[in-house]
Amino acid sequence: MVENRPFLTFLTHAVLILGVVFLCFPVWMALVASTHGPEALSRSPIPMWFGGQMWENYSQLLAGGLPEAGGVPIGRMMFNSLIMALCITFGKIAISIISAYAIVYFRFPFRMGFFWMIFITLMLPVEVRILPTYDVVVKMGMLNTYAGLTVPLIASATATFLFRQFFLTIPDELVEAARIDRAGPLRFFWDILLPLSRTNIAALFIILFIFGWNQYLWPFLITSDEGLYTVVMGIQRMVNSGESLPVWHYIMGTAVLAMIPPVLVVVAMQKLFVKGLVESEK
Amino acid sequence: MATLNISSLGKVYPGGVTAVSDVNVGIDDGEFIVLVGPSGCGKSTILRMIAGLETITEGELQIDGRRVNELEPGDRDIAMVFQNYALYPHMSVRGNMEYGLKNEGLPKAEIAKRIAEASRTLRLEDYLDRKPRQLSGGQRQRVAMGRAIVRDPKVFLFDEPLSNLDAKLRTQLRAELKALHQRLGATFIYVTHDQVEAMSLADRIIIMNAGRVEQIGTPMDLYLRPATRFVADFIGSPAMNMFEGTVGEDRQSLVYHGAEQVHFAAELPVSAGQSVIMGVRPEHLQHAAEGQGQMDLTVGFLEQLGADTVVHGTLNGGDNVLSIRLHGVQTSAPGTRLPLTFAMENVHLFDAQNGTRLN
Ligand SMILES: Nc1ncnc2c1ncn2[C@@H]1O[C@H](COP(=O)(O)OP(=O)(O)OP(=O)(O)O)[C@@H](O)[C@H]1O
Ligand SMILES: [Mg+2]
Repeated sequence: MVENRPFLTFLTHAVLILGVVFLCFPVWMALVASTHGPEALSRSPIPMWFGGQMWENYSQLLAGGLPEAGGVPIGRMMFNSLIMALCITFGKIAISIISAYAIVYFRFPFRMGFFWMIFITLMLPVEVRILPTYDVVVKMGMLNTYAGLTVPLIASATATFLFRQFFLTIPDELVEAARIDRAGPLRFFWDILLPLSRTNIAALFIILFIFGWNQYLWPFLITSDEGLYTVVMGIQRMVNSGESLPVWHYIMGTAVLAMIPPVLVVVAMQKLFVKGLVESEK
Repeated sequence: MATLNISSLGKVYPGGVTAVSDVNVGIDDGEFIVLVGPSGCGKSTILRMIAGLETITEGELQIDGRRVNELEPGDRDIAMVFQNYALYPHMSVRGNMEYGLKNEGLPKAEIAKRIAEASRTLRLEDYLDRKPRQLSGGQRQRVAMGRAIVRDPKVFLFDEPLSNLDAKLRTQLRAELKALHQRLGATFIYVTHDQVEAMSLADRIIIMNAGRVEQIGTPMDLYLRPATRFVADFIGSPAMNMFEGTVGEDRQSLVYHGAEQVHFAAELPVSAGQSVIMGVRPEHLQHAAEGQGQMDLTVGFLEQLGADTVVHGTLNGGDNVLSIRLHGVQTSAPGTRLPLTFAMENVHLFDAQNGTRLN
């Protein structure tokens, strides 16, 4: 199907470049806006090139109290976001890999019943069950705690399902060889299943970290204590800061800062991730 | 090194499939036993029951006189080599071999010694740090054998270990396996559906059909005196010629469709008029002088194998297929009639109804 016609080559490239521009434009705008003063952004042709206030804006964001944003330093919010994202990511991976292990490798009563129960919760994202979950969290006294922020988001049918599908592709002979090699259930999990799941875990890590980092609705409900605000909430609060005009240069700066950790995670994990796609180990 | 005692062993899978029933065999210390039979006859099931990977639903299995039905695979002191190698993909060759030993809690020095020894025997020294995916099929299978050897088990179990390899490598590894068995002196139980492999490796063959044992014996027992029609048909290549018919009045002929098809040099040990199946191997038929033939082959086509020529055709031009194996290069035009003779001791007679041996 690969045809060598200059016009087609040109067209496909044009479409691709257009797509890239389209995707990158908002990021570019945020970067540019975060380097200007407040006045430049409220005038009509908004600037398309970097201004001279980058240093001032970012140092104010990172070090200053930032009264316009409710007085919570960005560092604190980033830290909260990081804690939340990491807890959700590790929690989800741990819980789902263990549940998948149980469902695939152990014959306990109502095994399929449990599997379908987990599977059905796929249809119940946080937003749907938000009221009962909120009620539970309140009754357990977990409002304004990291636990309240993360625990209800940890159960994951999707990840359980993915691990289950992966485990089902591992040949039975491998399990049997391990049994003959005197590996008990825990050893088998630790020495064989976990290393084999490495690339799956890396892929899930990326997806789940971004999922956790971008949580908005749930932290918004659970935290009233400013010390627990996450950065995504912070951006939202800066936009809706009531009487005064939105401080766009700070908002965009915060957005840029909020983008950094997910980008770092993707960059760090992608080598493993791509490696997993390229080399088949089975 | 161990003896095995298998008594009325049976397996009914959940759902009611009877895969194996009533297997009885005693296996001596250091014996090389080959389980052979067509696909689905229950060979793997027996092997997996011995390994402990499949529960035994009937009968008893003893290793060295001790009942092991309830023991975990790791506690039975067996090692198994699988058809598709089943190496741990994320571990190096060394890692694969030492995993079981580490789990057993052997001291490091002992592990290193055993791995060095096994990798020397199997010529794997240069590959110890490679991952399985960086090895060829033959090398992988050698690693799988190495993993079994280092454990120094009482019994080695092999489930069609060579069937994923090409013909040449298979022959080579077959020889290595035989040498290995002689060197280790351990008890080997080996599953295959390839009768050549079975004949060349086994001290004794257990030949199975539809979950039952048809015959247990040395390769020569099975070749010279097959106990059933099934065994006669399964062992030997090209397959034994078989003709159905009734025994003639003189008990010296086989009658089929009202005509005498085969004449025997002596009386058959069965009564006249009985329905029988007569079998004779292609290599036991000789070209006779004109008029001396006990049966006639109508030539169909030739198969030139170099050392031998296999002539395929029909018995007296009828619908019974017949083949003979002649030494050297022979030629014969299709449609020619060849008179054939055979010695009485090479005749196999089976009951036409249940296939048991009659002579
Ligand atoms: N887990 C199972 N559940 C139900 N039936 C099974 C199961 N495993 C095997 N069987 C049946 O048991 C019979 C024997 O199977 P087995 O695997 O022992 O055959 P085999 O002789 O090893 O064949 P092959 O040469 O093809 O490997 C088959 O009819 C098969 O369908
Ligand atoms: Mg099998």
